[in-house]
Amino acid sequence: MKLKKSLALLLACVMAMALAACSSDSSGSNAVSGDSATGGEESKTLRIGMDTEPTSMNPVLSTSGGGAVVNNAIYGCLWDITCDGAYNYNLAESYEYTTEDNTEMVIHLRDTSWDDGTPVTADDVLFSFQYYINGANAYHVMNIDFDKSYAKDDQTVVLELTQASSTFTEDLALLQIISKDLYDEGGDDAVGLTPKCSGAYTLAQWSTGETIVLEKNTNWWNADQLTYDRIEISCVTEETTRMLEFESGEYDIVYLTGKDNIEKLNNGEVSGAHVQYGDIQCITYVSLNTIDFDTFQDINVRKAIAYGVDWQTIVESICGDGYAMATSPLFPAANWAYKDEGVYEYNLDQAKQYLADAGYGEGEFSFTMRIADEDFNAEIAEAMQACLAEVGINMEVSVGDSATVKEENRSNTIQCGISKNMGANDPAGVINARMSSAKPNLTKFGDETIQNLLDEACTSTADQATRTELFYELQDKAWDYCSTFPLYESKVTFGAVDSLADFSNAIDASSGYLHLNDLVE
Amino acid sequence: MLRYILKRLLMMIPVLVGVVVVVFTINYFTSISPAAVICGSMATDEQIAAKEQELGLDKPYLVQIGTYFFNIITKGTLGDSYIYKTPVLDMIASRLPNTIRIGLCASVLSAMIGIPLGILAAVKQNSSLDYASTFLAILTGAIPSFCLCLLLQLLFAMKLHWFPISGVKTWQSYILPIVSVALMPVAMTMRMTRSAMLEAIRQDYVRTARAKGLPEKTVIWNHTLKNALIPIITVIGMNIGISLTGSIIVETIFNIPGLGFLMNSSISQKDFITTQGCVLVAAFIMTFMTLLTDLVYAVVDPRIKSQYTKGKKAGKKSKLIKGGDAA
Repeated sequence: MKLKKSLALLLACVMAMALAACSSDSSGSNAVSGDSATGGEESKTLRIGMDTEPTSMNPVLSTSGGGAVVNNAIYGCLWDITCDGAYNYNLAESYEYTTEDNTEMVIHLRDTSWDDGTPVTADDVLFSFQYYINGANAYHVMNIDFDKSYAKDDQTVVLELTQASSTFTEDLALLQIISKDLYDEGGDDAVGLTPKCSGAYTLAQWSTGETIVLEKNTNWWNADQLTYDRIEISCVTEETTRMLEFESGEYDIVYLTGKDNIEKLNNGEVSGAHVQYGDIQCITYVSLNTIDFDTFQDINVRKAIAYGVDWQTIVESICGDGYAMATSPLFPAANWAYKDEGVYEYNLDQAKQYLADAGYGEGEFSFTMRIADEDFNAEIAEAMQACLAEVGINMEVSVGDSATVKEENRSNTIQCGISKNMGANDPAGVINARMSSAKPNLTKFGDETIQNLLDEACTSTADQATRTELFYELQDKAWDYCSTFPLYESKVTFGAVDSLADFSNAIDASSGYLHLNDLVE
Repeated sequence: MLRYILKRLLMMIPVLVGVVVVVFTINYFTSISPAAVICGSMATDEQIAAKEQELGLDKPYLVQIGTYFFNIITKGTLGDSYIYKTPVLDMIASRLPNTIRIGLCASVLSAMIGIPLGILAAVKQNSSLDYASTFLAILTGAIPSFCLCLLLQLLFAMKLHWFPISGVKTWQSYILPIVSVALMPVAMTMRMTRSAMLEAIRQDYVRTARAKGLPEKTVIWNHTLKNALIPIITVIGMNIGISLTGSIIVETIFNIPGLGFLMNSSISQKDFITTQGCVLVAAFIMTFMTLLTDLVYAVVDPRIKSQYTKGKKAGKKSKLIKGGDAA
């Protein structure tokens, strides 16, 4: 009896202690403090549900999408470039090339300051570019000759380039400016944990696993134009949970990738909310490795695959809202360079004829498709397999996790796979990213003519009209080469409350990240 | 007894070493380089090689594992996260309290539900109560945890607005995760209690107790349950250990920044050093819980306690015998 009572008492104490330890210092419910976007008077708060948490507030070392969203808000870049090629100047007021061969650039900085009131100077800009050499985005600053580049004065940066590059201004647009003084004081940790902010917002609160709070940076040069005083970003990995939070009114904007949730919003099943699409963010392709494998050397084999798969039906039936058929073999480029090549026409008889011309009978040709278990890859591969079986081609499908397949891709051991090309406002940036030595051969063309054309397109500094012709020719040749089959265009997708104005212009076309300072009610 | 405890604590060390070696070896021989993941898809081979050198990933297997153990013993550190660039120990320390809160409360709750159900089922064997309680317990155990979590979210958070959907902002946030974690082991606890009680209830001493005219309540609680406790404690100890190491699914769905969530995210991000640290901590918790369970046996059953102290007494006894023989 005594033992029973003692045990019961012990259990009750343990539960009481544990529950008491659960209470936090925040009062009340999950409701966001302050006024939300859906109705507020003096202090406007925007609540966002993202999928990945920042790994660091250091833009050089950060590896997550969530980090990019926050870093875009707290750090300023020199400028942004829109899909149509227009410049939105931020920390810089203007730039110009001062030599005919475009190897010297002078940047004129705006008179602006960090959140602590100290000025943003040319030294900060130069330091930031040098700092980026340490990180994953080093290729953006590879052309800068740091020995010859210098700060002419506090507001003027002179950059010497080892070679001209048509994508250089776009490269610089992606780089956030970091405080040199802060780095000198505390190194990577200081930049990552207690950043000095030159962007529209400052980092007011961040603990791993909790809501990130940004507050308006009153020292930002355009602070008066900001709609929101405070932004609260919650990072919830599980999309179902994120969507539930959005439906219950906990968020004003929620990042979505799931087809079901997008359809739910489009069907009006969530009152007071809608889907917000960005511009084309990336294009997904099926690619054949024509460099490391002899399998696809014969153009007839490639054509048999091109015309033996009903690409349009596959994309329409497997992908849903937010995904349109892609029609360019190269990139979701800037509007001025994108060429609509159409879709490879599904023609079973023609495909069989091409296979016969290549010297293969039914069932004699086979290859392996290696895909990552993500997006629609598995369903697309299965559908392709079925189509090619009718042509007489055996396609094995091998599925692995993303990291493993990525590593295999890097090692150029994949015969055929599904890859993505992210957008960029300058198509040469995408081509550079796709064709650089760091990229796998799966996405490259084993043809000298095309390769020369690619090199020319990437290094051309001609006017836009001339470059447009160049990119059109490139896309035509890539289309005819039949090693890259466009599947679908993806647009980054958000759920948004109806009180928010259209914010497609606030979604970065190349990365899909939100520019929080461009959000308006 | 103290000697026994010390001995068991020392025995934990080879177990933990073994766990680290296994996990380290698996990580080491995977084809994916954490440096390649950190540097990103645009990194050149030279950048990746430089990062590997910086992180010490280019060194041979024995050097790497030796360095890891050396750092644990001399500096008390589990290394720095490749992704977050913060000490792994700090990351675990900031998340472990959430997991422990949920784990402890869930274990207590599952015991509070499972044990009485098991006793009821045993006492009223083959009655409708027995079948009903068995059905209820198995039902809770059969529902997959991700399903259970979503159902609880939809009903109690979305529909009824009784609790928050996710996060750990208030004490109410813990209720649904605790219930999710607690319901799974109820079936095991209930079944084990029922089985142990049935075995004990058939013993002669129970018949004797009834024959003596003791109230049924006394027979069940004082005589039967006490003697059926050992297997029940085993199951509860195991459940506590499992709950305290974090439920990956529950923490992910409810967005609880706990040990399970950290383990899951570190695996998907290929942050192997953090994965190793999490596994080591989880192994420590499990082995410690095993030790605690064994100690509770001694509290509950004097026969077991005497075995733990047997060595000392046996030594004394043999000396007495020798002394007697000598005489």
